[in-house]
Amino acid sequence: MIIDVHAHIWDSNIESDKYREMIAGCRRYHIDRLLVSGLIGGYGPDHEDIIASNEGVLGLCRLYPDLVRGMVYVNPNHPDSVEIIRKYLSYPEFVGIKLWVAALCDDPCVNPIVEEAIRQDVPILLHTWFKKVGQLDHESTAVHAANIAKRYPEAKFLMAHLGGNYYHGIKAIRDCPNVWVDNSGTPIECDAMDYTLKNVGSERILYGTDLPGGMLNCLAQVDECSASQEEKENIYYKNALRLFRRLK
Amino acid sequence: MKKIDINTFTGHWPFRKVYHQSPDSIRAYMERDEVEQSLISSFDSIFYNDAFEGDEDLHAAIAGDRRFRMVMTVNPKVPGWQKDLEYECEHYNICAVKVYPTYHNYLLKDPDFLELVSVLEKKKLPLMIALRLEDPRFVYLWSVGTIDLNTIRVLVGETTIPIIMLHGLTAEVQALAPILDGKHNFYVDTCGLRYGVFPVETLRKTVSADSILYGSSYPLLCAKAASYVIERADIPEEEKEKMLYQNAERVFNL
Amino acid sequence: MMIDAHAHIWGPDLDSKANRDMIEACRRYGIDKILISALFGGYGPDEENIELANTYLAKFIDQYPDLVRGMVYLNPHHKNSVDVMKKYLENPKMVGIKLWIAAYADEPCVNPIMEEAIQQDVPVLFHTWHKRVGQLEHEPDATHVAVIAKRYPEAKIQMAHLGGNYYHGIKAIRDCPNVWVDISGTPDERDAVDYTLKQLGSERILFGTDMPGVLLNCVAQIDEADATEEEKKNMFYQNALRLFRRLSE
Repeated sequence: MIIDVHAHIWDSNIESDKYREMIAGCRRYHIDRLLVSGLIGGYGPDHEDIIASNEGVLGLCRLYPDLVRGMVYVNPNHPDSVEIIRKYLSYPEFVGIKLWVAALCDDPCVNPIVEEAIRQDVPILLHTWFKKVGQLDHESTAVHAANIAKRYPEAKFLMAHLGGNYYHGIKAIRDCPNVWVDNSGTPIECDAMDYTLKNVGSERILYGTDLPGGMLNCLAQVDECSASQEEKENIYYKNALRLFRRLK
Repeated sequence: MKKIDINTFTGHWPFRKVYHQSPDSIRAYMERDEVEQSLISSFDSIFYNDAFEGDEDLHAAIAGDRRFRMVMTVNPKVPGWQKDLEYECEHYNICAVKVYPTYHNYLLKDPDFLELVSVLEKKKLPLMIALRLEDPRFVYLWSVGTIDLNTIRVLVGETTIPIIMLHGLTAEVQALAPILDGKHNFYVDTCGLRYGVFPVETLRKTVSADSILYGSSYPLLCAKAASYVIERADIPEEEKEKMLYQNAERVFNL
Repeated sequence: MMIDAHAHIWGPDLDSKANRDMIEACRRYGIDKILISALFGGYGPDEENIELANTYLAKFIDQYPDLVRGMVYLNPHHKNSVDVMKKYLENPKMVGIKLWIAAYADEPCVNPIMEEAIQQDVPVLFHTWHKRVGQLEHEPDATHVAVIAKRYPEAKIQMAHLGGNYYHGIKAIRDCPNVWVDISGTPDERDAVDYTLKQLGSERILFGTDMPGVLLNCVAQIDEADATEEEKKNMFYQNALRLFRRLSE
């Protein structure tokens, strides 16, 4: 079994070739669940972008009910972000919350979102990247993820992309037992997975891709790492089933 | 004469073939030059993203050899070094921490660096600051920065742990003479004293013999270049002994 | 025995602390001959600077006749440089020519100097450095030396500082049998001499220091090199005796 915990739609045209290909990829490579968030509206989405993102994801969940589940996307700067979370988590298709680059993830405006996530027992997927070049204005790194995780030890966080640069990200959160990491996106170096295994163990690593942006590289990383079969199963799906209550 | 070399390396230097980088080569040098103990750190740890992984290899390479004491490499700009430091204190018996601000690109007033200093104060561990590893005219592939000596002066005034400046040139050591008086907790090694005919004799007019430690930067630089400036200087034998090993025993609790 | 093939005086105060230290160091560390050039007048000395430099150099030699030998300093841009050369080479204790950074080593204005040096069978010492930062205008590196060495295969050339950066300099001249190198100055990395030995062998390497600027690291470099005693002797003095005809006269 394989659960991909990190994929996106970038527009409302959910029947376009791009998303058909994404679904076809899941079928061909035997992905059993795909957790999708909608990232419409660029780095600082407005209210309508947020609604369009989540409606698009809901539509995709309904097109492929055996495969797709949703992550509620919110902009923490919006006063209604908690209401948006409540609204979409009322649909059983949604299993968690997604934050991207509208605010640093330890900004006080994120607090109410985390508190709601604790109440509803859903994880929050945090985009993180530490970049030598091209860091965005409000782009979180693992250090910010560690801050919010320590502020809310009862909350569950999924830190994306191994922190972007795993040498920066993994040790920043290794002492935060409420932070899981996904290997989605492009931290493609061969040792990324083994390094992460060495420092946080197999039970806090989840398989993810960043589809439709990329896919096979992430699969290859898990296949090729020096983990045991049992550890790979943790990464491919068991950890996801433990972390996302609503996937069961 | 008996010596303790406070500044040696092993591991792999990336920019040129270093002929004597293996632990066995370092041992051979130590036997040749009567170096009873050397404080050794890893080249790899400077260049790896995760310095700790270089230190793991270093520890494996010198394990059990009591002639070596390990110096931990820290880049305070990469998260998570605090726990690594705990680990190395407990398992590697480190006697100091070495930092490379010009390679890792931070200033001595950087909050992450100052956090390292405060952690070392709690652990009472000396801090070695490498001003440079190479002549800047030699640097291959990328250029490294410089350290403002004033920031070292400020640091020495604000901390209680021993600060050891590595690879300072003769003029730089001269410029810091007022705090190299044997009263401040500040020291220099000898691998950068290449300028001048009698550098140590000249420095001794303003710098205390208690503040100079034999450190060679071997195998990057000639070990004898760092020892000759002491051994072949016209200064009292007691002062040579201080510089060659006694100061090191005191500063690093050897 | 040790012959330091590369040292300087920098001004007319012959009794300066730096000069006294230099002489004291030769006595203390067993340096038997020291080849000195006088670099007066900065990067682009005028005719008067050159005249003074060589005059004071001759006086310095007279002060320490058993120890000091001279390298006549020239600015190749000066029309009278060959005349200056002839005049000072009349002194048998002037054993070679020194060029610094007034011109690149391969500029046409250097040609007459090379031709006169061939006539008189004296070596020409070229400053060289290849720098990552701070290269001076007209500062030659080993590639310039290789050009002039190939232009004048009969000339004898001493390339200073192993070319500055030996990874740049040594391979640039390794196929020029008329180029010797000295280890003076601050290419002080542990492996500089071993690398040069590997590329050139021991017969084209000369001990030099750049005193009063630098000394002991140059001694250390040869002491510590992976060379035989015979090879070390070549570097410390035998090559210098072979290269500088006037040292044996």
